[in-house]
Amino acid sequence: MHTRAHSRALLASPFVALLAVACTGSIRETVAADDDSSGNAATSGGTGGSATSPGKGGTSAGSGGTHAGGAPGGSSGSGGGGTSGASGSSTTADPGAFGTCPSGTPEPGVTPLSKLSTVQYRNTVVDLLRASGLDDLIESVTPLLDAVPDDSTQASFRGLDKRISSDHLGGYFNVATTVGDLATADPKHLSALAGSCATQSSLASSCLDAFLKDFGKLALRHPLTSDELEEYEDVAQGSSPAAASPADALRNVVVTLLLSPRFVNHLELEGSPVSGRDDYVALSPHEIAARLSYTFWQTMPDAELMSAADDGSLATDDGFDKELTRVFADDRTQQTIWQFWNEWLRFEAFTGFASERPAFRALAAGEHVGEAGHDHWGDMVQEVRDLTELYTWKQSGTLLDLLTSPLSVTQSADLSHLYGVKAWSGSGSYPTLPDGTRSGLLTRSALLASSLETTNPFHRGALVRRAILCEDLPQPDPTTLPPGSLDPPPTSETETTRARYQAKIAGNNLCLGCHTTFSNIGYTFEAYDSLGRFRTQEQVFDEQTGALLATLPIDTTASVQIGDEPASDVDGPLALNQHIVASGKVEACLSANYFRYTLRREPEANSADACAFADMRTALTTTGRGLRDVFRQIAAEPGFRARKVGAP
Amino acid sequence: MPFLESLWPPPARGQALMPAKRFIVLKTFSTQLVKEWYPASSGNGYQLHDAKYSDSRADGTTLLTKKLVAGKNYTWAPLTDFQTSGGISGILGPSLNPFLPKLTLVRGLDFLPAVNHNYGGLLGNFSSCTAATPCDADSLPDVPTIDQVLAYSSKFYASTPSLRSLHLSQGVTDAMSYSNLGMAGAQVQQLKTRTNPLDAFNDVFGTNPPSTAPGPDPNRDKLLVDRVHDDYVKLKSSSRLSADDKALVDRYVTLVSELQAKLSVTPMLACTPPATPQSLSNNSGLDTADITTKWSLFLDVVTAALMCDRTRIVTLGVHKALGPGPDSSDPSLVGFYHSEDASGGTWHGLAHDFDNANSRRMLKGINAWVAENVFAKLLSKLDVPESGDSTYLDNSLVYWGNELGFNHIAYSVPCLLAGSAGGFLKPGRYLDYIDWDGRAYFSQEDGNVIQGIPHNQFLVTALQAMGLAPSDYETGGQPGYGSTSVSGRSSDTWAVDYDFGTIGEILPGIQG
Repeated sequence: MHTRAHSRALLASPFVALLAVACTGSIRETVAADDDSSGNAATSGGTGGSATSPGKGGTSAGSGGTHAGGAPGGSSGSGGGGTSGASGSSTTADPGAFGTCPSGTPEPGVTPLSKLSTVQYRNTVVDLLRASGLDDLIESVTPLLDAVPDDSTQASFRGLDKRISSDHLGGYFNVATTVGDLATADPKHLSALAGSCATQSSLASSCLDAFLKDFGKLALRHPLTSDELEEYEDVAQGSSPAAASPADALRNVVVTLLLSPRFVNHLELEGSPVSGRDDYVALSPHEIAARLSYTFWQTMPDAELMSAADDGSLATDDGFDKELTRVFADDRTQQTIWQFWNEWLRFEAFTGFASERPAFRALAAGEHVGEAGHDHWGDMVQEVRDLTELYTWKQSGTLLDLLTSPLSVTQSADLSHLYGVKAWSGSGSYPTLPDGTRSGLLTRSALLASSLETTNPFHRGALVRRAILCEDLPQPDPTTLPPGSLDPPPTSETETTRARYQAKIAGNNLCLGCHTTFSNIGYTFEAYDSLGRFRTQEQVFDEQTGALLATLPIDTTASVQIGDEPASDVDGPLALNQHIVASGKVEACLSANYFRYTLRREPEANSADACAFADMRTALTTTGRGLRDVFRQIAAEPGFRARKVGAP
Repeated sequence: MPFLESLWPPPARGQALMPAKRFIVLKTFSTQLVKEWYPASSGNGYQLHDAKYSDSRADGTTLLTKKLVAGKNYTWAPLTDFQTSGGISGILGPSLNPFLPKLTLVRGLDFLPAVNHNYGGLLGNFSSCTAATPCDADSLPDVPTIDQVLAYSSKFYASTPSLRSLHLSQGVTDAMSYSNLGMAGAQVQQLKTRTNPLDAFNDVFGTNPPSTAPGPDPNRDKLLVDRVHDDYVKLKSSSRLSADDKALVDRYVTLVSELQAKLSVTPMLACTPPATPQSLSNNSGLDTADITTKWSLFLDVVTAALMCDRTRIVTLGVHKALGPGPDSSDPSLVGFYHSEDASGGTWHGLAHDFDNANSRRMLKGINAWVAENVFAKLLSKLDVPESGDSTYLDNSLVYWGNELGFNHIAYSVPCLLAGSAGGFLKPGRYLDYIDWDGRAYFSQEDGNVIQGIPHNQFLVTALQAMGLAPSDYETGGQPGYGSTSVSGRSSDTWAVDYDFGTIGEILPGIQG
């Protein structure tokens, strides 16, 4: 552990006091064709939706669910939209929660015991089968893996949903027994699992020991201790239950291993005490291997990591750095990093375009967005993925590059048409977006589009405040509002969307106090319609018939305050984007969220967590390092290889 | 196809001296139309509120006159007084007439915390507003819903049951129930529902028959799980686990124990299992046959589960039902799904459009369908002899509750009970806890905010009806169950000054 010399105060949130006024959040009731896509839960009932399909795509950092529901931040369309600004759930992280990086050698925050995330569990089972030469069983096991409840993004990142339930246990049991049955059902699989000795009429001790040292080590992610060897030998050869054959004995061991607390959880109990303390330990080499692989790959360590753990090199700085570099360069890390963006920006919450509505079809006339037969939302999300990966992996780009990029990276003909550019061919130079229309990540359609034919400036503004700037917008209490407060303002032939929403809260000081902090941000985004198409005029359509009722000039000027700067007038989303970029708040917000996403825990104030946060944030500033380095940095922090135990 | 009733166990099966009590909850959503839910009869000597009041309290429903208890303006009437060939109200139609002596219609139960659309309010967890409609009550701590208090009570289940509770719904997998697995102070989690009758069946009766392969110990998986249980128990002794870590391990121990119990149960000693239902995995469509068939299969599974004593707790989230379409001249029914989508024409949208006559017609039709095709059918299945003169229904408490009260307001939340919980309740009555001479704070279509009685007292009633004593569910020295916070409600607009001195008591007069 090296010494720290940080002493950096973090940004306070200047909006907290101002936002502590009621009347901000969303009461808009979102479209949810099939309410639950998370599938997580407690003790009874359904299995929820499925997540990744490990059998199809191999290991994956992806999450489950389908695109459903609304613009990022959960602001999907509804039958008219709501009037309040915030989205449903959010991934708000408070950068202030990190406190200040102490000097000296600070300890990291507490790492609580947690289960493998469901994605990790699925990937682990699949990779265990692959590593054991049982690839052909994956297809049979996949439906059972899918039945294990997905982790939920309801309140935050999936990885932070650490709940367990009877459905989890039932799912683990079904997977374990099925793998045990299938892997020992015939000589071919038995041989793959434990060698040809396993097909003999009796199970030799040497055969069992070799199996435990090989498969047992893979499953538990460390060489079995003598106690563990004894335990599993007893499972195989003892009387509870009595095995009827070698296959039955090995089957019972497989089942028990796959249900073991050490298989389904991240158990880090073997490290060396730091300064003699049992509540602060340096991870063992095998625990480091598991942390690395689960952090960046969402699965068990591969053979090289295990080898580096076996020979102890992973416990050295050089050895660790070598493996970190290798792990980070793997494609699976790219998937993990993309999933971070995907969950942070809540893309999975979109419920789809309301293309059955005449007014929506009228708005989309001339475009193909929303037409059946093609996933245009998928195109929009893919564009964000391509953009983030351009500046993370293809180029050594910075956050500033990402937030101000003039390039169009989409290969979708329909989306590029919406943008007024040619689709990128897949090679060569990227087209440049039309001047004055877009700049960077925040002006891409996936962050602008909503389900309906009308925009909701409150939702757009709240998304920026909450997700991008990490500010906490309180939810309004509907019971304190006058009747009708939360109904959407009706369509008008004479008023723009902005005017209608402004009128909704005009004169209501209870609402205005908070709304002005985010509604104005949303007004500047009125430069885009609900498809995310740039516009200078707003078309108003009859909801029922789709007839064009009016074409009205839009107003994208607003007084906006971002960060510590005083409020200033901006005109349009590009000017707003400049303020957002200059505020430095995106760096802090990204750092706070990335910490929570990768380490799957909340930070501890004024600990080494604060130093990790500060390192990332500093690196992300305009003079800092590229995104790739920053994403790697989290594992290079000294606290990554240690575990702090919480209060007994 | 639905189970054949001939396969059901004979009534003499349950030979216990004291039949088990059961708690079954059916939940509908958004608004119930006051005038269609409650009797609006001026026959049989009754008059409407309109005859007495000239203000917003004149709501077109029947004025009750019998005093329920001394010292309070609570009133009651025999339900049969309102019986007509069309039932007792627009929604509580003729299919319920045979059960009127076994029903208790309760009016005036108020959620005290400020909730919006929510999952567990009707069972006591008010901090359960949906993500799309966050509410003031969200800031309250989650507490287990009362069904889960029962599920982990040794008084309710003397031994570990094969299934502590069964949760079913169509369309939504989030249950109305929240649980801490019986561990005081532990994390409270929302449960999930089964949406496929086959999954529900498998939960109740097991997925696979015992292996017929020669050799392996048929009990081997139970023995293997025993070892896993021991691993978790041993893990607790690690000095490198925090108190929070150990709480998680405790949770595992509980869940593994339940898995052990499930694997230990000798299948169907007491009754004949019904046929395995078909799998209906579609959870998003509105096909009328699909909705109808699924409800029918669900009720078969529920009935069999209760009669075979596989579980004693069931919740049914009625997110899907049939109802009339927008064309009033078209008698055919269409499918409805109550989600958070409040757009026009959806179930939820109709509930928001309560001042529109056509929307009210459709909304009434949906709820009348639920009354006839879910609630009444369930009662029919349960009202068969169990022990002596009592039926399964008599020994149960069936609670048809609602997400919110009239017009999306958490006041006067509907409550229709069936059964007497083994004689604990005196059914056959309409109990009205609204003080009609009290202040009418404001009114909307059909509904007036006039103070009733805390819904908490219903929670207490249900818990005690199921055999629990206050010491079994009260925490922190606070009487009763569920939050009594009225935070966020202005006394200028809302009734907030309840009699908190009686918050821990059962509903006055409900035992007769």
